[in-house]
Amino acid sequence: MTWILFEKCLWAALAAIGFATLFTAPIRVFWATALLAALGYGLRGITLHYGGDLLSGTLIASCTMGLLAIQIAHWVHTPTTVFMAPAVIPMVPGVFAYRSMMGLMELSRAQEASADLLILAVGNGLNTIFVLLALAIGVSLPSLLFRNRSVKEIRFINSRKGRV
Amino acid sequence: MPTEPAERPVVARGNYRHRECSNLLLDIAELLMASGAHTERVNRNIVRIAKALGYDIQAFFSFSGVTLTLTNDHCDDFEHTAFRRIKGYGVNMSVVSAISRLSWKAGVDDMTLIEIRTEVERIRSIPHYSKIKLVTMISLAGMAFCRLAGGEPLAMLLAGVATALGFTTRNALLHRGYNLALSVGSASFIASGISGIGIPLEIGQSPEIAVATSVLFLIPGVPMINGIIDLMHGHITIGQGRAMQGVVIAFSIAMGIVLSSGLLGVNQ
Repeated sequence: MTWILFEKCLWAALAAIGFATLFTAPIRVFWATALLAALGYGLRGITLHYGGDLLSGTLIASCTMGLLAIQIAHWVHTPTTVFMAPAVIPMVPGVFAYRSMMGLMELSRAQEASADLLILAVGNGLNTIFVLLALAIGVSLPSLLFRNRSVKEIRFINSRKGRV
Repeated sequence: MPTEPAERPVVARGNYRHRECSNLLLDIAELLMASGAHTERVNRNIVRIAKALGYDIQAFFSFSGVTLTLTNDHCDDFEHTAFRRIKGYGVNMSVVSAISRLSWKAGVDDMTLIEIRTEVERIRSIPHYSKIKLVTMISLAGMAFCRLAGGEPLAMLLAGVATALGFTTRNALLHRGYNLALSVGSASFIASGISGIGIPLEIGQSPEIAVATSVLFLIPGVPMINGIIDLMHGHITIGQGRAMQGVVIAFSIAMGIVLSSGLLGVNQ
């Protein structure tokens, strides 16, 4: 189990770097994106392994990533969104969205309405939305925690230095 | 050909610095919104830059444009409102990062209006990564997605090739100025059509994984996540707009897959 999870973390990091390129992230944040993506995917895998469900696993992973991002933002001198947005992309529930969309299509083509099809499609759709919500909470955790003052402002006030 | 206007509009002489300021602030807001910053970040950045220029601002954001009112503490009867349309959305994180730095620098270094304007124009011209790098990285990402979903090497290869061709299609169509939904739908048709070849040919054990993962590069992750963040921050109007854009793109992807699987004679 550990070896497979480790391998998957590496693939998640690769996928995140692909998206960082697509989003034109500055090259100096690529390591942060890869690290956070691998960490997030790993944490979610561990939660799932110990019997957690997908939603709580995603929430734990994305919040851990959000907390680490606060420190990393100072090292790479960018806002947290810049490296967090590509880093959470591997956890975006694409397969659930795909299944729910296909379920809806199938529902419209079915000869007689079937409750099972409907429940399956709606269940997949709701899963997509809730997992997205968990990811969004993680990405916006820094700004939610600091009551809309930015990460840099906090450091600025605490250090009482005149320079940024 | 439009003819010369009969009456030239009366131009207010003298102090029009506030117009240049509102113009600059709206340029920055438009650039940030289009580049994929969430709305609260855009708001914070332009408020900070406006402070550096000596104004207080109130802004309203919607999916299609930004409205901005400038006021000044020292001058009771001064108020200036302007609106700017947002023409198109395309994620560019380098712009988000550079403008965030600029917004801090503007206050600390007392930058003038012209200095900020020059810097914004420089930021606007930050290039994307080259086509070759983009296609390589995005098809690697497609292969990685396929592996994450449990695909085997052959399915990964199929997903990688399909992703590269789908991405090229999307770029070519968008570059020629076609509609976003149409471009995404066509890209999804091409990508799922190519990776779908594996199903009738029975390549590998689970070729349908390649189909599901070869279109993942089109998934509107940034509009969806930004939409939810905006809703949480209370920017309800634009939050709904962004979430809806995500839904529209998701439906275009689905239409592409339905068309290609119908053509290949595969029932999902």
